[in-house]
Amino acid sequence: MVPNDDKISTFQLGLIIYLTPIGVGIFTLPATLAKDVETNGWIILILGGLLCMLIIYFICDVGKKYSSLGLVETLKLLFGKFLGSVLAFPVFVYYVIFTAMEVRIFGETTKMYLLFKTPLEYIMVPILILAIILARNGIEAIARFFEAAFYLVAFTLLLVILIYLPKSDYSNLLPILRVDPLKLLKSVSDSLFSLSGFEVLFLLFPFIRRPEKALKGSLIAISFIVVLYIIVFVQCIARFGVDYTSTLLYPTLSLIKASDVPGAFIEGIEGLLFSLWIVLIFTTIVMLIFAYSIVGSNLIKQKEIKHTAILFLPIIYVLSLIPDSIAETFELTDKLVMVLGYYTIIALPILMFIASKVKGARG
Amino acid sequence: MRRKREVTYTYTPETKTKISKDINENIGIIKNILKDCDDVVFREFEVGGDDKIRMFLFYVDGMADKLLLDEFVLMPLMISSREVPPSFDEIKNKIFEATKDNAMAVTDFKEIDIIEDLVMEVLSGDTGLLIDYTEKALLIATKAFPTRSVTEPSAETVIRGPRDGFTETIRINTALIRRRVRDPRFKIKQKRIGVRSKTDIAIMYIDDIVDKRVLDELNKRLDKINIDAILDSGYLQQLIEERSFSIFPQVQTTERPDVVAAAIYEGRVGILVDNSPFALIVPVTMNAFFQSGEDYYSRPVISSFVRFIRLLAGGLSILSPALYIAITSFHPQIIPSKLALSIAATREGVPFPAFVEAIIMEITFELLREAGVRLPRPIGSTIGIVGGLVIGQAAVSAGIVSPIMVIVVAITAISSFSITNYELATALRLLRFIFMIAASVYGLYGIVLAYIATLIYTVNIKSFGTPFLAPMAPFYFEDMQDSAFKLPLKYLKHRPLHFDPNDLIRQGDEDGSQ
Repeated sequence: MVPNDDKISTFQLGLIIYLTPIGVGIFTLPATLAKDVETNGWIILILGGLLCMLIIYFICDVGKKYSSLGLVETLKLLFGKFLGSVLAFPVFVYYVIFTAMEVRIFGETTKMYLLFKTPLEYIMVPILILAIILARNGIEAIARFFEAAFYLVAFTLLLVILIYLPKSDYSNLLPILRVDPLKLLKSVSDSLFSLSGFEVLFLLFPFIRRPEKALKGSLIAISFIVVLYIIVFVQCIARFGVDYTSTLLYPTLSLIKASDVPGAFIEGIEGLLFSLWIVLIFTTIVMLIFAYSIVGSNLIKQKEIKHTAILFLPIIYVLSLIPDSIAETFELTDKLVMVLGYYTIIALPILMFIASKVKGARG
Repeated sequence: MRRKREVTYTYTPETKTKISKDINENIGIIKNILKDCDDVVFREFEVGGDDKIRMFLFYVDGMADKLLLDEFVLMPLMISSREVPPSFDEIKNKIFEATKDNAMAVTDFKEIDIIEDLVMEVLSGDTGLLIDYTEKALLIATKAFPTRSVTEPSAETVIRGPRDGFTETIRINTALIRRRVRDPRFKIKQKRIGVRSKTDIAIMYIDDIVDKRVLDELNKRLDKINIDAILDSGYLQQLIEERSFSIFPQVQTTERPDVVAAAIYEGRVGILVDNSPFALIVPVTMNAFFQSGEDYYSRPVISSFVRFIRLLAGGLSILSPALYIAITSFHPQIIPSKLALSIAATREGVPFPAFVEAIIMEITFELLREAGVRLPRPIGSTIGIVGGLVIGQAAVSAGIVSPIMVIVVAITAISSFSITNYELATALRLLRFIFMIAASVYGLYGIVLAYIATLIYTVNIKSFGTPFLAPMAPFYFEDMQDSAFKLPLKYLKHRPLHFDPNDLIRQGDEDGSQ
């Protein structure tokens, strides 16, 4: 008998931190990196990963201290009621827009690879509804879903990694470090934002059974993601070279398409693999919905997150249909990252870390 | 002559009437309660020489052992007691004790002082004995009703393993379990459920292993039941399940005593219901449904392989028609062009879309299956012939379905038959249609959506506090040793953690330490 106390284990937390960032971002990541830093993408990924770990350290340090409070409550405690709410509001907006964009990109990609004739709306609505249903069931159900889905996901990832190893030309990865170091540093943020989603950790603290172990679990999860990203990036470059990779819209899926597995009876494997990938994107959407529901319901002092999740469904749907094309969607996502992303992922954790230290020193 | 009192009595289930000193009054009440019950036998007789004392005996004809009553109850009381000392006069004042302790050669007695309780017990097959001037009645254990002997279970057959299966008699069934658990800490608690049927149920567990919270929860749910009759364990199962509309069973049913015993040793609770050869086990997980008792009796590598085959069968029985629909109508580019062409060629003459074709065939198969179960055995084989001809030959040559579809249905059928648990197999049958509909609307995306929906549904199911998908979700690393695969028995040192047993150690180390 498992106690019904709305708490998750460290393993479940790690899995959430692992599966949330992996979504649609991984499809475009090699192209973005190749465009900016050519062959040095893997260095950037490592640097981004390290930066991410530092932020996770900040988050855990603050989170452990106020582990029974959520993000909004902690902010209110540190900065006062009004200022705290003001500081928390952009996070809410960030998650709502992020969800909408994720759903839109998912819809476009599905249309491109699986359902060429189905209208976008019909693709987006069912996954949004399923995600809301799961998010409404609370963190325990979400964590169990992530675990149950992980078996398929692990299988998919292994397939992606293993199939393409032999046919690549690793000399494409050379030369190393022939890019302006300033440019390198600039694109660290790219790699950091490819990990965005990990910041839900901040919201999860009230649900973690052993907050003191959260740091370890999250760090392991992040390092696994970084390894996966590096493998995907290296494979893309080794296969296509820098120039070709940077012109592709979804190099990761092209990579899958370009392979012909000897003896496989399945031909167009990218369609099949993408459909498995949907589960990964779904986990991201669920977590984002859960995130905005928690922040939203804390802001309006609603106890049940169920209503908040449903309340913003139409808004997300409308928001996701605003961009006219997939290119515009990416543009909008970049803009979102520039403003709200920097705030939520970098500024807020540092700010809270300093504030908690100051408060700790005073008290 | 004592004055015969007029008996004014009407029976309701709540009345409790004390047995009075006057035997006539008692007999009157009993005869009133059992009025028009022509299967009940009443016998008044007198004991002793000159100074006689009246006794009254009643039982249900066919449920009590008449031979035992004749030889060991009536014979000593009516005949032998006159021949041997002490004489009747000496024990006149303690006639009840004398009857009970000295006269009858029967092993099991019970003293009862409420008439309604006595009638209740008599209706379960025992015999009631009333003695004049005594405010207590004797209940003699004489249960002997027609029972089916222990035979091999028909729904769960094994090649390697014990051949005995439960019968309809709860006593025989508890004995079958007790033979496997000779531990005084193994408890069999009996209850009666059903306002009118008063069906015996037995709750079985090992006291120091079982999770007490599960036991409390079970008792709470059993006490809430207020139904007129429990005819089979299926009634009880539905009444104690959390989710009544769920397609997945949240209680395991089995005909095999070894499966129940194994579950009890794992810290789970077994429930037997009288008149039902199916025992219930709580809590249950999806994992347990994919296991068979045989897995534990055969070699670990083989049983791991068999478990893998079963999981594959589960997947195939849900997915194969859905995949057929998705690939032929949405994504022909996924399969190699040669195969795609040959499928298209066989489908050329078929006038229906893939979904309709699949639905026709699957429904036909379900009909055949249902008919095969219901038909009397001699006619049963006819169904096989009809099915083979209709599905295999005629449908294809008439151009209604393609030969590939026939193969798909065959795969579905075989896989759904290789799932060990009947109830789970039925649940998966239903899921198959949902996946088919999803695939006909959204293709592969639809299948993934249906998969996600099924997962959301199953992660929310709990069976007596144990998540349905444990030990996969939530993940218990230690329990993976006995999940999709199975380690050799030597390494299975502890009981499954996800059932939260009190005593974890199943197997000590070789040197005897634990």
